[in-house]
Amino acid sequence: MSELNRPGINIGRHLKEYVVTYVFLILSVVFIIISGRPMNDILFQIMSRLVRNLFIVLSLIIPIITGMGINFAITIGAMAAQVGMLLAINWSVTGIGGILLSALITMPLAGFFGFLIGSLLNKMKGQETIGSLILGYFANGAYQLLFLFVFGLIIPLNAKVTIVGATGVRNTLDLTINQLQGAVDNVLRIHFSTALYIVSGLILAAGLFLFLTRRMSRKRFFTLAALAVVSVAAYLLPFVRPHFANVHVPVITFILVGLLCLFNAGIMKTRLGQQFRAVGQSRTVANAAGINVNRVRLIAIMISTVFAGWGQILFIQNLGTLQTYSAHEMVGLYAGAAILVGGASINRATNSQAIIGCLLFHTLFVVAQDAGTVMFGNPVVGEYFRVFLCYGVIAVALVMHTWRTHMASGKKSRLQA
Amino acid sequence: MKTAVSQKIIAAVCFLAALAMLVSGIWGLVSRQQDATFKTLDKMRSYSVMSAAHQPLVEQHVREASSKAYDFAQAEKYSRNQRRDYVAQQEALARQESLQQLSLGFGKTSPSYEAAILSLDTQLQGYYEALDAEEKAFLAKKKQAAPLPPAAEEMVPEAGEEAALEAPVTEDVMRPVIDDLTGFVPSAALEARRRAASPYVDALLKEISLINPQLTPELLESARAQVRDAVRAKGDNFETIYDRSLKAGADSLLSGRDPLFMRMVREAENLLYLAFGFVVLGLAVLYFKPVVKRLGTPRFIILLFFLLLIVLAGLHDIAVPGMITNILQRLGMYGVLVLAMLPGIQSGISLNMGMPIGIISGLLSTVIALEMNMTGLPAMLFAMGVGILLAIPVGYAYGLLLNRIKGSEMTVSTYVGFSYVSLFCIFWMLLPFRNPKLTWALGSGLRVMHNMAGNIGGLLDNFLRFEVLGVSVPTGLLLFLLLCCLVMYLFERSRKGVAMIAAGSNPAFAKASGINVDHMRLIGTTLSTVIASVGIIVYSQSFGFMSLYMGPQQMGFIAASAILIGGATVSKAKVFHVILGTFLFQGVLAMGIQVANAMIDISGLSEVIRILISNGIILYALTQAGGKGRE
Repeated sequence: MSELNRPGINIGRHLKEYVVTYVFLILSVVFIIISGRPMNDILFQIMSRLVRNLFIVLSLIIPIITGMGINFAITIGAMAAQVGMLLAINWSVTGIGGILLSALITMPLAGFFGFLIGSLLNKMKGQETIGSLILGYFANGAYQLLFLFVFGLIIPLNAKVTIVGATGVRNTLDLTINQLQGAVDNVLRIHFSTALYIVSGLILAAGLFLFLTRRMSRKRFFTLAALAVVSVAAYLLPFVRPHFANVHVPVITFILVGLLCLFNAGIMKTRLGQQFRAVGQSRTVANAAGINVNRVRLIAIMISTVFAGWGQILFIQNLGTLQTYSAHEMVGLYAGAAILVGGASINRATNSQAIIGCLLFHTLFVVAQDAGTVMFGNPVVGEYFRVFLCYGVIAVALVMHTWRTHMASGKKSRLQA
Repeated sequence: MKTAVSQKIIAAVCFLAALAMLVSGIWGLVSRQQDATFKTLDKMRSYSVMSAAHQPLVEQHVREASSKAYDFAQAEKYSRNQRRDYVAQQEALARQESLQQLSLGFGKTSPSYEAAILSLDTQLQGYYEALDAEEKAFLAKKKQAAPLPPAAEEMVPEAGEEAALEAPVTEDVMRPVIDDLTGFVPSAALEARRRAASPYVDALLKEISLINPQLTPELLESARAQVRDAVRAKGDNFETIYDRSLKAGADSLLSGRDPLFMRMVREAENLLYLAFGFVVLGLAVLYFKPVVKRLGTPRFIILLFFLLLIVLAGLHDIAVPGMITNILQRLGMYGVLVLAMLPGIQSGISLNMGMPIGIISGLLSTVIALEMNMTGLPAMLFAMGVGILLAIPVGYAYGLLLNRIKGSEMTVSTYVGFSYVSLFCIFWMLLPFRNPKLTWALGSGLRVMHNMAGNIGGLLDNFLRFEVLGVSVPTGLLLFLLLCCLVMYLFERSRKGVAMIAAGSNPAFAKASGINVDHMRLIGTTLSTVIASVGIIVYSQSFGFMSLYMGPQQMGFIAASAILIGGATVSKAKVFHVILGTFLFQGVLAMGIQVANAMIDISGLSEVIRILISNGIILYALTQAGGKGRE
């Protein structure tokens, strides 16, 4: 293994592993240029998309580490969240209270669904990705049945959430009536520059503290410090700064995202986190070491589903309308594609991969339509290109992962022979 | 096999209930033929006719009460909301009172009144029978000229259609019945017959005015259509007449056990259906364990659901021949697509979720045929030929990919299929098709839906199509499916086929006996892709429409679930599973749509059923295939 650590080979390997990320980076840059959209607008759009999606994308990490692939069943968590939001709207709980109530309802509901998902996925080990995808589809059917026909019978719904003259839930629920729109985002919004200064300052301070107390290596500290300084410096450049004029940062949402990052990183240092990793690396070894593999996998999926539900609440409150029957459909696809773009694979993922992936994926998402219009004179082509990117990224990641696993196992068996 | 006592008791209760229903149902059916029953029904009908004749009087009372209430409210200076509520309240009160008062007279009758009803009834019955016959002949002729797309029930009715359904009943004379959008116009002879019934209505109205002089000729004239329809409306039978009379409150006439008896006679058919349902339920309870073990839980549920739908269809008087026609059509329509799953499973790539790859080849070749303005048989043969030629290289390349990712074929092929579909969405926009019939009127690119009528639509369906007992059999379509199945069956038994199945069911063993497993997988994948490309052409010509873009995306799931329902697993399948699975799955859907429409007026339920069944069965198959241990 030692020869693999030589810097030259490292770069080659790095490129190979992050080829999708780099392709997306190049595509993004090219498309931004082609689309001819003002940078101001693009950055504004990207920021709002990050606010909406980051939390959900981060909720995918734990199952990946546990070796369960991409948990496309997070759509079910999203459904639980929508049940919560529906009830909050129905009971006319407004503002931040409504959000808290939905989050509270989401937790046991999504946890329970997560338990069911996990139990099912434990019966189809090795097929979790496709299993969770189809489970998501299945749940969508059940969800529609519930919302169209059953919900009104169990819980009395008032007229503002039901279809006129029927018990079914309305197609679109407007969140502005209940002041749920932006209830989290609007608590505190600061300009991008302020946010950048504060974050850079915090990184420097925390890094310095950790470095001085010898809990961080010198190399890492200097990298972080350089990153903070360079980004502030870059922002201050006269031709960069104006593009960020419109960009505001909803502080609370990002604090929540940050907390989730810390949780993802922190749990890996606990006993449970070690079990996640052990199960992810080899179920056989983990089992031999006395870990209850099924239980660990169950916990991983439950955590992921609950977080995805909360993420969906953040998503919907940012959007301002709840498309009752379709808001959850694309959640798994977009989040899965985003984290893979960031360089995660089917069995490895980190916070930074999720964040970078989300950034790149949504950048391309924002500009693809305009680029399509410029290149082919048709915005629809750009739209289809977006869809193709989603599916294509996942397909490529799956193929590459399987291929690599096969090659590795082939090599191993040849070595043994 | 041990059966618990509780199971036996429940089953016994079910069987007893079934027996009771069977007996009373048959009794009811027999009684329906007897004069005494008809006498009672006639009595009930004359009550409902009288009730219909009194409606204008009731309305008159209501109007009087309403204006009185309004004046009172004005005098008392009520607010607008108060006034509205008060008037509504008074109206309801007046309606109730007047009905209560008048209904005492509904039972009054005279021999000449009864006779007038009967003679009008005879007239109307004759007229409606002639009308039905003419309509049927017209529709049959029209169907031959241009077949309707079978999936019309899945389409949302347009606003105009709904408005036509809700149009108020004609008040005065019977207008010629131009009921639907089929363009049917009754013949002159029929019109004469319709007019000939008019004097009989007059006679009846006169009799009514003799019984209750309160009803002036003007009032009666305004209730003319209602009175006529109370005697006999279009499509009336025992049950509808009974229901109508009951609604008018005619059961107050009956005494003793008569109400119950009439109810039983009316529900006779339903009782028989329910008896069937209870027998099935009893058997299901009794043989729960062995059947579930044999079929697996989801298949058992689907089977029960299928039987439940049959019972429900019977209860809601859904025409059986139409339903069977629908199921046969769907069987032929989806059969070939489902058959495409077979070689995939047999060669060891499990469910070929990348089936859209083959489907798109078929779509592309069809679009090319349409672009060249080809029609009829040449167009279809061309489309199939080119489709196969396109599918072979694509399927081969796809097979090469699948050989590199053994073990995760389903996951990867799903996403490869999705990617391919969305990639082709771009191509559909950009490929240089110029035929204005195919492209968007504004801008470039192919349209999403293409009407098959006039080119290859119904080509196979209508080949040797015949009708027996009201069931229209799409002979050509079913023959084609059988032919494809036969070819696959023979292939299974050829040297290559046996080798392929061996490679799929036990790769290690096959390899040891000198079979090139990778090569066999390639053959299976290519074959599956090729059949899919033919399948979509068969599907489109039968469906009547071809949908590009995201249309093929879910096809793989539909086909996969059908073959799984038929009894296949992700590693073993037979031709029989294809036929049985398609029949069951499509049967459930076809009946589900009609039953749901009859029960609740909400569209979209069938789609929900499809989603649940389709994905439920795939999930089940996955749990059966995947590792179950603790590791």
